[in-house]
Amino acid sequence: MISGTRTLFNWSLKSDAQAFSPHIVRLGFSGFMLLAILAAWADSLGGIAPGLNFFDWICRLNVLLISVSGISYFVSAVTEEKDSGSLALLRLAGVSPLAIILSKSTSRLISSLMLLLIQLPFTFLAITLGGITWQQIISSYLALAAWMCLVANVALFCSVRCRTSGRAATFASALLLAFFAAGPVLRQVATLSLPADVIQACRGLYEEQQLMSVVTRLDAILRGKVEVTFLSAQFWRNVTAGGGMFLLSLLLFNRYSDPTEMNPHGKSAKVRRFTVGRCWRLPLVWKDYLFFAGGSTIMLLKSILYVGVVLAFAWFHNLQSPGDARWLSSGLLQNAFFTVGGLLTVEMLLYASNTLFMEARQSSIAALRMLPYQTPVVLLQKVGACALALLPGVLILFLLFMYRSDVFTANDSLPQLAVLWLFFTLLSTHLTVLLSLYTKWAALPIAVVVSTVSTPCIGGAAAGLATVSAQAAALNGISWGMWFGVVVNLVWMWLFVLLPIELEIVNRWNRLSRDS
Amino acid sequence: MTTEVSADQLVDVPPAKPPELAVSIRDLRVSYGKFEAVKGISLDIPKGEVFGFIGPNGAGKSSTIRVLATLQPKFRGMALVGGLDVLSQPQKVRERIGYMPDFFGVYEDLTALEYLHFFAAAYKLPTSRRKGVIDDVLSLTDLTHKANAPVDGLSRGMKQRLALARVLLHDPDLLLLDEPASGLDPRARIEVRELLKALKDMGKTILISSHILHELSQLCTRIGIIETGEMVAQGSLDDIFRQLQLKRVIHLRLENGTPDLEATVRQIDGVDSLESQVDRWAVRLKEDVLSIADFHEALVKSGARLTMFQPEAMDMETAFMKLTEGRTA
Repeated sequence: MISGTRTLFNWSLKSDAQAFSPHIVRLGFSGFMLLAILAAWADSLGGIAPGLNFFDWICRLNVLLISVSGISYFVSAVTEEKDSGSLALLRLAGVSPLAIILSKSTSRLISSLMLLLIQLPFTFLAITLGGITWQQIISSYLALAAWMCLVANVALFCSVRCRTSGRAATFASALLLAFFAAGPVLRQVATLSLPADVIQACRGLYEEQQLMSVVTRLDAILRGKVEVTFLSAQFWRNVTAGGGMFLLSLLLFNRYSDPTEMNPHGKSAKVRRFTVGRCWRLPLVWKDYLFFAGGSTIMLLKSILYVGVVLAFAWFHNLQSPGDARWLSSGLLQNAFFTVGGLLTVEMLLYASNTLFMEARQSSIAALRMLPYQTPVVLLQKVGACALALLPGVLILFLLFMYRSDVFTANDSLPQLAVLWLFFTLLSTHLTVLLSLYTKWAALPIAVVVSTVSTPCIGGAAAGLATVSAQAAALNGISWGMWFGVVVNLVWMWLFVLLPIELEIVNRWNRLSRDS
Repeated sequence: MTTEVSADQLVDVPPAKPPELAVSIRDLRVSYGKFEAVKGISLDIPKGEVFGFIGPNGAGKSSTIRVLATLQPKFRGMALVGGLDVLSQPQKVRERIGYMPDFFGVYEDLTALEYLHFFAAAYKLPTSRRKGVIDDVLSLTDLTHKANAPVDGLSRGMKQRLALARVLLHDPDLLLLDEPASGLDPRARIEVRELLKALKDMGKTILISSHILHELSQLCTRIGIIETGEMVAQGSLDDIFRQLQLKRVIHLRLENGTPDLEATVRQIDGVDSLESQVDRWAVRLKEDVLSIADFHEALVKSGARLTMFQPEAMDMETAFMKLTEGRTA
């Protein structure tokens, strides 16, 4: 068994080393690091501690990259075998669960750790820029590596537990969001006038969450709050929890890879007729809404989740200000708005990463291409299905805005924020859709990184133009000039940034239809 | 009793109408970068015909079919489906064809009925007709009993039949089937073959590619053999056999196979070559010059005492092996 496991693991690592694309990604990453150093050097001409600023930025980008990889790259480790029906074949061939997990998941973890390793020589250059020490760099990378270990193994657990990549990605997203949200929520709850035991429990949980959080750890290292130690509590906790998830995945592997368990069609024909109903006039919207986005059942669950988030904020407000007649204070209203906006963004990104990818994987692009529709119409129908599935989140956002619109309109930075959010979301969803037609796994993290890097440049310019429009409008006595600027910038953004990506998506789709 | 036909009467008789063509291809060339996958193929398929496209993997079958399915916009030459140019009128062509690729896609979360309803709606079948048409194609493909079964619970053969049911929904004139029996077990293959026979009887024009030769020989009215992007032979099975018989090999055993007799046989007009093997002679005959019977007579006249006279039997596999050289792209 050990020999088989070792062979599969070695083969997996060897194929990664011999493949062309991973090296291209690493090369691209090195180029990106050089550019970032150049930017930091340029920045240093007029600032202090440019090395620290540069490294801080790199660390935040890494945290984002690792977290997004968790819900896309790592999470499909086992589910991609389930999706293609080859997991049963692997089991029949006598491949042990350990061998499958090592070759499918751990090899990805090692390959991703290489991406961290490749950064090291470049980040050491940050020392020459000033503001950071080599001990801080090493400690930060150890913290990031431990965080990657935790995320990869949590994603592995989701991949083992869930039947499809889509479900696993949703599960992993929920766990990651819960982890990041737990800190602020527990801290706030601990300040309320609740029973002492509850407060004590919340404080304990909050402290534990902070000890595990890579964000807190990096903050401590880079802000010099603590004496730098290489192996911190965060490192050991993340690695131990990651190891625990690995063992749990291994133990549960047989249970959740059983083909009988993998058949999701438990519903009777009567129930399906009720839930599915007759095909709509826009058949692709019908198919994707019901069978990709989960249909009315998932809509209902999402509505409950979004309402639950808003009610949690309302409950919190009630505890903070018991006599207040309003449901939400200005601050909490904005927090609720941005939380729902964030969840909606995650939802959009997950749909974007799978909507066309699933068609490619199911070899159904040629069948869709033969339909009496032009490719853009097919793609627009798919967008329509996703938009329909996003309705609960959008509706809650709209209701929050309408509840006290004055809170939002009084905020001068809101138009710029809206432009930046729209730019980031639209760019990353477009890139994710496009990359999902090229790459097997990493479309979402690559798209998020590219969007994050390009948002300060192009998105900043767009937000700046919105301000210029507002000032020009104010000089000419035009009300709503800022929002007019927002619209103008959206058109600009679509024409010069999004339209070329959309055209390439259509081209790629057409090319795949003859290759599939 | 004979009937005399005057010259005037002959003038009145309308000339024989050329068969209406379902597919017409002229000098088709498909390139992928520098690699030319299809090198000037020309073929005509009259309506109602079942045309078998035979060739090894990478010969250019799928590329040709993809051109007809309007999925390959970059090609040179001309390709018409029912008189419509695939390049300038792809949407109209798509309404007339049913294309099933070798890797067919079926949505596994749907039931067979939901899957067909989806495609029926996508093909814009009126709601009033939809149920009837779906019942018909389910019945034709023998899947009625599996209508409410989830697609991922179906066997590969059933999925193949479901994919066929899907391409029949809009009642296309021409079916383009790229390796429809690949990966099927013998029973499923026979089921698909019977289904194709039923479609043939319904008057559908079918272009089917395969490398399983005996299957096509039972089904096709004409075949085309393609290798490294070139059409090596095309016509009815008889035509192709006749073409091949021009150089038929005849195996001989003689009691008196002396070198002198061998030289005499080589001199017979119509003998292309003679290969002396351990226990026999293999004579390659130009059959258009010398028939088998005449060769036998010539042998006897030259004093040969024959113990075996065996013309090589011709079947699809022999034909294929003779016409192709095993070259790959």
